[in-house]
Parts: sequence; C-alpha cells; structure tokens
Amino acid sequence: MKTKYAVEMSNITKQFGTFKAIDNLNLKVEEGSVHALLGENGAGKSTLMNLLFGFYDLDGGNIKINGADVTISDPNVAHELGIGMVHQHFKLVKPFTVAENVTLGSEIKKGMFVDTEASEKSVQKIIDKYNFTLDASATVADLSVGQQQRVEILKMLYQEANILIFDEPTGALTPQETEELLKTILELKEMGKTIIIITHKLNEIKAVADECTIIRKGKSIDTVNVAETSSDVLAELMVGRKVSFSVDKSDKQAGDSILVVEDISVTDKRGVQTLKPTSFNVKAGEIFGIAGIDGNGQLEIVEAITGLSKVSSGKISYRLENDYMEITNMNARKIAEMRISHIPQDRHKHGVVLDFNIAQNASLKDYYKKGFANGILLDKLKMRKLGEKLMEEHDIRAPHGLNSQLRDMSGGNQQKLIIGRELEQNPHILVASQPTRGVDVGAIENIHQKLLKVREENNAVILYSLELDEIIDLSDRILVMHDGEAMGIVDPKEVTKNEIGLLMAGKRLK
Amino acid sequence: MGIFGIIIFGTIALAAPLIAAALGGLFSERSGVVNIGLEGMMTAGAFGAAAVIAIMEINGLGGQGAIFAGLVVACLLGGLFGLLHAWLSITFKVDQIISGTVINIVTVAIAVYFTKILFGSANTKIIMTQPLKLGTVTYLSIFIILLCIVAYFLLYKTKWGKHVLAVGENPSAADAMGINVLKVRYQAVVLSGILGGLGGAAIVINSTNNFSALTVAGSGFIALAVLIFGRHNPFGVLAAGIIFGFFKTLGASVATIDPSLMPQMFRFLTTVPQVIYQMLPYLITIIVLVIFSRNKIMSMEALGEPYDKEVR
Amino acid sequence: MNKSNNISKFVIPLISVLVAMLIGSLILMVSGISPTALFQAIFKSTFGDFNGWLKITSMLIFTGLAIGFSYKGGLFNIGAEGQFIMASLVTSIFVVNSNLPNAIVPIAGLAVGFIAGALWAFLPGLLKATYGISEVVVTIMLNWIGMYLYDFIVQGYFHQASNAQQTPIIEPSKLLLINGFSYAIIFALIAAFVYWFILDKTTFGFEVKAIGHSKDISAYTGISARARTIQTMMISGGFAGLAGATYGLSYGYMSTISGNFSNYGFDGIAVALLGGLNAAGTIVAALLMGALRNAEAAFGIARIPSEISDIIIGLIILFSIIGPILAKKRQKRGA
Repeated sequence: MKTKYAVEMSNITKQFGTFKAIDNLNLKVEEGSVHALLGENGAGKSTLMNLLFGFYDLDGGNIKINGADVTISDPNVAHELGIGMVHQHFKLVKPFTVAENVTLGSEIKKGMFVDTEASEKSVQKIIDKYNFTLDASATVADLSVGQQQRVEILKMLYQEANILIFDEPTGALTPQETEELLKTILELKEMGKTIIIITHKLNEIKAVADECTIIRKGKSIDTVNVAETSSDVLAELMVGRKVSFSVDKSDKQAGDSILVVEDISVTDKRGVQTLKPTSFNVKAGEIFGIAGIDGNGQLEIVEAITGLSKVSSGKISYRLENDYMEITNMNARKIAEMRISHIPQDRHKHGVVLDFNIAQNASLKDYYKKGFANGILLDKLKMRKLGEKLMEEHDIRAPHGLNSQLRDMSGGNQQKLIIGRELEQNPHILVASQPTRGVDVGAIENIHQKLLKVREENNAVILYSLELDEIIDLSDRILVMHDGEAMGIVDPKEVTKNEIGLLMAGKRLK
Repeated sequence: MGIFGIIIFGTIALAAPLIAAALGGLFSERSGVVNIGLEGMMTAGAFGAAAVIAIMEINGLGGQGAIFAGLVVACLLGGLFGLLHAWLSITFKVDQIISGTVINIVTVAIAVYFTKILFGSANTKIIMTQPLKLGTVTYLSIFIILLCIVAYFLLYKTKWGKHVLAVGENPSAADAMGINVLKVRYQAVVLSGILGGLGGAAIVINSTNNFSALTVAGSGFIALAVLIFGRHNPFGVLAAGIIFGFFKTLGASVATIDPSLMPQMFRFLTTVPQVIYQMLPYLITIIVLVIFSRNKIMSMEALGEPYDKEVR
Repeated sequence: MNKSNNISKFVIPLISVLVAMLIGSLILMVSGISPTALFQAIFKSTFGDFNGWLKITSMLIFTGLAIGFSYKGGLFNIGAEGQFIMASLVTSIFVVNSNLPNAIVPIAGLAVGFIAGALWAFLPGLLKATYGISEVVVTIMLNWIGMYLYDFIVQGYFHQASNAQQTPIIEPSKLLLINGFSYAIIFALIAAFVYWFILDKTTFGFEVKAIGHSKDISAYTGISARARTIQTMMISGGFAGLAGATYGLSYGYMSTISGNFSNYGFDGIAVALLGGLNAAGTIVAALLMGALRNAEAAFGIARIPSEISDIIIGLIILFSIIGPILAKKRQKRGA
C-alpha cells in the first residue's frame, strides 16, 4: 500500500538578507505519525516550520499538504489546511482569558458583540474532552508555563487542526511537565493527528517519535526510523561528526572560598520575593553550577552577584588579596573592576550595544579606564586593536570586519565577542549566564573549553544554565533552585540526573 | 445662569473636543501605535469644519446642514492624516514620534496656508450658524460624551475591538491566529484620525467659531494627557476630559468674572493672574504623568513597536 | 556598501529638497500663485540680504544641533522651542542690565542663554531619567508653559510703548554685530565642532551614544543612564538656548504675537533630520532652511502666504525620513 503523506516539502529555500536559512530542503511526514525534526540551534528547524505555517514567505520550492499542492501565504491558509503550531515562545495575549485566546480570530458572536459565555462554554468542552484541567475563564497571565502551553495546544485543537507542530516544546518545562506533554503528544497521535516535533533533545525523540529528519545548516541530512536508530547515531547525524558527550575535566582540588553569599533575597517590583534567603560559597578553582527551570531564582542570584540588580537582604563578600570585602549592592562597574566578569544571559539587552561596532563593543569594559583612555578622550587606536585582538583570538566572524555593527552578526559571533571581552579582564570569578544559548555546537565546545581554562587557572566560574547536561558535565558542585529557593547543593558525581530533576521540581532529597 | 452654571457648561464645551481626540488616541495606542500627530489631526479637522461651514454660509447655504457638512469634512481630513500616520509608521516603520511630529508641522502649515488663500487672512470667517443645543450644551458635545460608551463596547465587546487589543498587546500572537496585524492597526489609526478631526471640529463649533493657527494650540497634546490620565480606557478618558475641561474653563473665564458674584471663599481665584490658568492644563499634564508613571498599565506591551514578522 | 551609503547621504537630502520644492510649487500653482515668484523671492532675499540669511542660519544650526544631540542620546527634544524662548528672554534681560565691558557682554550673553536653555530642559531630563516619563510629552507641555510665561513677563514688565510684545531692547554696542554682520555664525560653527568632538572623541560622548542605543546597557556597564539622560537633555537644551540668546544678540530684541511660537525650535527638527544628525550635515541643512525662512518677508511682498515655507519644510522632513527607507528597499530588491 502506498504511504500517505500529510506534509511534503520539496526543495525548500528561504533567505534572510544574504543568509540562507533553508537551503534546498526536503521533508516528508507520514499521516498519523509523530515526526521529529532534529538539529542544532540555528540549523533552520524553526524557520522551516514558520514557512509551513505561513509566517514567512517561501523563496523557493513547493509544499504539498495531504497530497495537494498548496501556497501557504499566511497563517489563515495554514489554519484552513488544518495546520496548527505551538511556538517556542508562546503566542498568547496575556491579559486575555483562556477562551479569548483560543477563539481569537474566530470569535463566536451574538449580534454585534462577542458572546463570551458561549465561547467559554465551547472552549471548556474541549478542555474537558482532552482532560487539560484548565478554566476557560482564567486570565492567561495568571497561568503557569505548563498551563500556558496547554492553552497553545487548545488553540490548535479548537481550530480542528490535524497537523500539529510543536517547536521546542519542553524548553521551559519541568521534567514532570515534560513527561505529561509527551504523554499528551502520544494521545493526540492515537486520535489520528499528525505531529511534527522540533527538538534537539534526543531522549524526547526516542520517547515519542516514529521518524526523525535531521537538519544541518538549512539542509536535510537524512530521515531515519527512530526505533532502529541509536541516540549516538542521531547525535552524530545532527552535528555531522562524532561528539564526545563527556567533557574532559581534570581532577583538581578547589581552593578557599572566593565568594561568600549569605542569606541574600530579592523582591521584585510587584513585591513578590523572587529569591528567598539563599546562602552558598564559591571556591577558587571550581565551576559552581546553578541549575533549575527557567525563572526559579537563578537569574536573581547571578544579577545580585554582578551588580545588575539589588538584593533586599543578605550579604555578598568577595575575597580580594586575602581580605573579604562586602560587595553587596555595589555598582556593576565597580564589581567588574574587581575582576568579577559577567557573560550576561540576555546578550542583546545587556551584553552588547547592537548599534555599536566590534571595536566599540570590545572596549565596553575598558574605554574609560586610566591607561586605556586619554583622560576624557577615547583612544580609538587602542579600541581598534582590542577589537582586532578579540576577533583573532576568538575566531569572531563579521560581514564588514572590525567596523561591523553587532546587529549584523550572528548570535554565536556576538557571544564570542562577549566571552572574549570578559576573559580579557582576567577574571577571578567568571559569572556565565547561559553562555551557550543560541550558539552552534562547534562553538559550544569551544566555550566549554574556555570555562574550564578559567577553572584550571585556579579562578572560579559560576555557571547558570538551563541545559542540565551542560551543568552536570562542567560543574564541580551544583546549586539547585526551585521557586526562588535553594533546594540543596549537590556533587554531580554523587547524584543522578534524575535526582537533580526532582530537586528542580521542588522535591527535596532525603 | 450663575457662576457655576457658566463653569459647568463651559467645562463640557471645552472637554468634548479633548474627549473626542483622546478616544482617537485610545484606539491608536491600544493597537500599538503612538499617535503624537493627534494635534495635527485636530488642526485638520478644525480647519475643515470652519472652512466648510464659513464657505457654505458665504454662499447662502448656512444652517445645520452646513454644520453637518463641516463635521463630515473634518472627520475625513482627520482620517486622511490618520492614514498618513498609518502609512509612515506601519508600512514604512518610521519612528512613530517623528511621523506624528511631521504631521503636526505639516497640518498647521497647510491649514493656515489655505485659510489665507480662501479667506485672505490668517483667520477663517466667523461662523454665524448657532449649533443645535440642549439647554446650553451643544448636541455635538452630548454626542461625543455618548461616544465614550460606544467606544467602550467597540473596544471590549466586539470582535474588532478584541483584535485591536490583541495586536497592541502581542501582534505575533494575533498574526498566528490569522489576524492581519497591519490591517487592524491601519483601521485603528485611521479611526484615531477621524476622532481627532471630530475633536478639532468640536473646538470650532463649541467655542471659537472660526479657525486660526491658535485654535487647536496644543489640545492634541492635552488629549494625550487625558488619555494617560484616563488610564487608556473610555470612561477614564471621559472623567479625565472633564477635569481638564474644567481647568481650561477656569483659565478662560476667571478674568472675566465679577468677583462679587463669587462666593467669598473663591474670590481669591479672580486675583490669580490669567497666565496661571492658561498654563494650568499643561502643568497638570506633567503632574499627572508623574503620578501615573509609577504604576504603568500592564497592557499595550507592543506600543511603539512596528510589527515585522520576519525580524529574527 | 560604504560607498553607496555615502552617495545616499547626499543624494537623498538633495532629492528630498527638490521634490518638496516641486510640490510646494504645485500647491502655489493650484492656489493661483506663480511658483517663479517663490524662487525669485528666495533668490533675492538670500543674496540681497546675506546678513539676514546668516543670522537665521546660525540659529538653525544651534537648534538643529540641539535636536541632533538629544536624538543621539536616545531622546527627542521637541522642547527646543520652549528652551529657545526662555533663553532668549533671560539673555535679553541679562545683557540689558549687564555692566560688563561691551566686548565681553555678547559672549557672556551666549553663556547665559546656554545655561537658561539647559535649565529649562532639566525637568524633562529628570522626569525621563527618574520616572521614565516621555520627554516628548513633557517638553511639549513646557513649550506652552514657557510661551505663556514669556508672554506674561514681557507684557507685565517690559511693556514697550508700542503694542508689540517685545523683550527689552539691547543697545547696538552690546550686540553680536559688526557692520550688520552677525558673528553668531562663527559661534554656531564652533558649536557644530564641539558637537562632533563630544560625540565622536570623548568617553562622555561614547556613553551618551551607548545609552542612546540601549538603556539596558547601563546596568551592565555601570554607565549611569540617569545621569547621561539628564546631561543629554541639558546639553541639548543648552544648544537651543544658544539659539535663543543669538536672537536677542542679533536683532536687539525679540518681538512676538501673543500666544505664538518663534518656530526656530521646531525648525531644528527639520534641520537635524535633513542633516542626518551629524555636524556637517546640520550646517548645510541650516543654510538651506535659513534661505527659506529668510525669504518669508519677501514672500509677503509677493503675496505668497509665508506658510508655504512650513509646508515645504514639513515635506522635506517627510521625504528625508522616507528616502533612506525606500533606498534600502530598492537596494534589497537589487541584491
């Protein structure tokens, strides 16, 4: 019998400016199956799905849905074809209710007005049918991340979509929420839906997918049967070469405490305590990991140490030449001058000035310093030299060389510039906040090496990452956060990944 | 009519234009487009109404029909500049503040230019037709006040209103649900211009009876302050508009009031120099901004951001 | 890439000006006025009244720099008009009452104007830096407050024999004039140099631009966004204040119709945008706009409504902002 394909994409091409995001790519998804798209960050998976969903216009190639040629010019067409998508960044109107979000664009009307009651009823019906435990009249802003994702799934089901796309659906979920989602996906498959899941997490593919298409640099490399393919092979196909999953880390004894954090807490503008009193110390010559689901107080810790935000109580002391001095709530510049460097989580917001060029961004920490500036005058020659040095040492590539604006550079190259600049400060403590986010795999390894080198030189690294594997591989000790609270500090050699997952979910170890 | 009567009716007459224009600002800003060009749209409306009514009167066509025609033209002209603002800021993604500023500069110049061409002086001819009134309040003012209720239902209870709120809050969410973000924003900004034009016409019909460069005199900016003071919702706008109208009335009438008619405790008000009252709405605007800056409105996440779905 | 940028730097403003002039001419034709009268008036007044042209140009350079500086710092100072008015009044009062030697008085007057303009811009800077309140709205409000305050003071205290609202008259010997030539233009050129020097050469300028591009960089680098915002606003106000001071020091007094603006502050927006926010461009743009403004008296004689120059100026801004966007779109399509 001939296989029926729900989606056939052939010779797809999409360009952003001069950058070819999708290059002559092919994809065939069998009807009623779960099909995974595997690829590194920036391989073009999301772009491909945005094309299928009508968000972007196609530059070349053609698409068949259920065997018929189609042109998906905008999301409306996608809806009509029965394609629905859960985006990586939820597309929800936060002040609206669940029902308002689900019915947006296809509101139920009574006369001139929207019939709130009827729409809540009809949405609640679907919620109950799929056992989603949600209240249709609840405001989305008040829901948890997992619940918000269910609203996104509801939107597709309400539209009676048959082809469901999930773009990196587990990135912001707890392990338990992830499990629930994977169960839901299998249930949806049972009901005859075709599912495409975009991910770079191999275990998720193994858990739910029937087939997997591997995408590298905008090209489709291969489509494999998941049951017959090992994780190692999948990983190799993804990066295009064998990758070592373990990091070569020397056994070494950490030194004395270089940073002592005592009972710091942070209260946000709304008066919510986002970080409950937390204490720990960081030793010279160690990598101190901070693990947790996004938004559980990790960022608050990092920003308190680096001076980006203030603590409402507690004390942070830093050892400088054998004396401990308090750096609590000090200005970020003063902290940086004491050789605490910072690779910020949100590089566009904090790490660089996008409209400045490489030389200017390279000197962002030095431009004013005695010995760098000529009094009140910039030393442009020094700035250029520093920029050149960083470009060379860190293999930074840019369209117009030193004069390139950061805006025109890729995320990976921006990150390399930031890391280079921060290492140039010869830090005693390097605070690295999601240092590999949005960076391609080759660069990830390189960044890991740099963090390890700081440790080798007997300085400290504080590593905050949402990638649990990264933390486990690199860290000497791991602080696990849940709901703004420290759940404990563990040695990765002594606990399993699962145990850390439980801590992240708020269950204390015995 | 007693002093308070004068002040109350004066307040409504001066508040109505501000309310109309602020409702205009409401639709634009809730859809995500800052409309600092409201001043210019009011100017266009004020000029359109004054010129049409005066010309019709000159040609023996005066009367309520002329006033109606004036209002229609005012709305059209306001809407036209709304369209220009939409074109610049939505299609071309020009900085919305700059786009609005350009509109403000151009409209005053064009309006005064054509006033001179048509009337041979910097003022249009005074309109003789008395607008229809209920007591001393024009029906136009009543209409504008009722518009607040219409705006409320339009924004919160209709499909289109929900789309306006959605594109102002999270345009890409709206886009994903098949809503044409640019189209909704265009509609909201054009409506904003129409209401701004109506507001400008209301100044002419309620108060000045002609148009000159001084007719609108910052009312568009005060309308923006009314919008902020009114917390970006229609009934808030109504209340804020009345408060601002009250101060404008005080500024305009205090100097002409016979102190002996005032109750003893308010007589000091007549000794305050008029300039203080003239400045008062502008000063209050600043004070209001300071007071409300602390608790920003949650909504309108996307205000001021042009929508470009292919931004990576 | 860079070469084509350089070409568009000159070509776009040039086309903007030409198209605006063309449309202006069309509007005149529609109103039954010959456009040649417009160009004759501009030509005659520019070369017939060279000093008048330069006087206006110098003020437009100052206000153009004012807008440009604020824009570089991520702010939009629509309040240059109010700063101009207040500085003009304060400078006049200072110069008339000053006992300083005549050689120094005009320069001291400029300094006073700078300070007055800077102070009038302090509040919007403070409110922006402290509460995040839009400087656009606040400066617009301060324009009106400033204008009424000006009217009030001029009416109340310096009421001249005539009915015109005039600032006190400065004796000719205290003016910035030599045989009718206003050397304010020299100070304007110096100001343009200082503008370039601060923004391009100093660490302070680096910080102003950094904060202008990204407020969030403040927390990370420790550059005080608060201080830079206030300083940017005050320097911008200072430039506008120099323009206001120049008015009194060039003409001897300022005379306005009650409730009217001078428009020099607003014209600064056009100058800055047309000049591409850089010092040299601002000078060229100011010369052009100055010619238009200087011709307004001649327009009156030729029975052309003087608002035609406002229309043309508005159109120039319009085209100079759309121009680069259109050019970019075309370039993209070409690539």
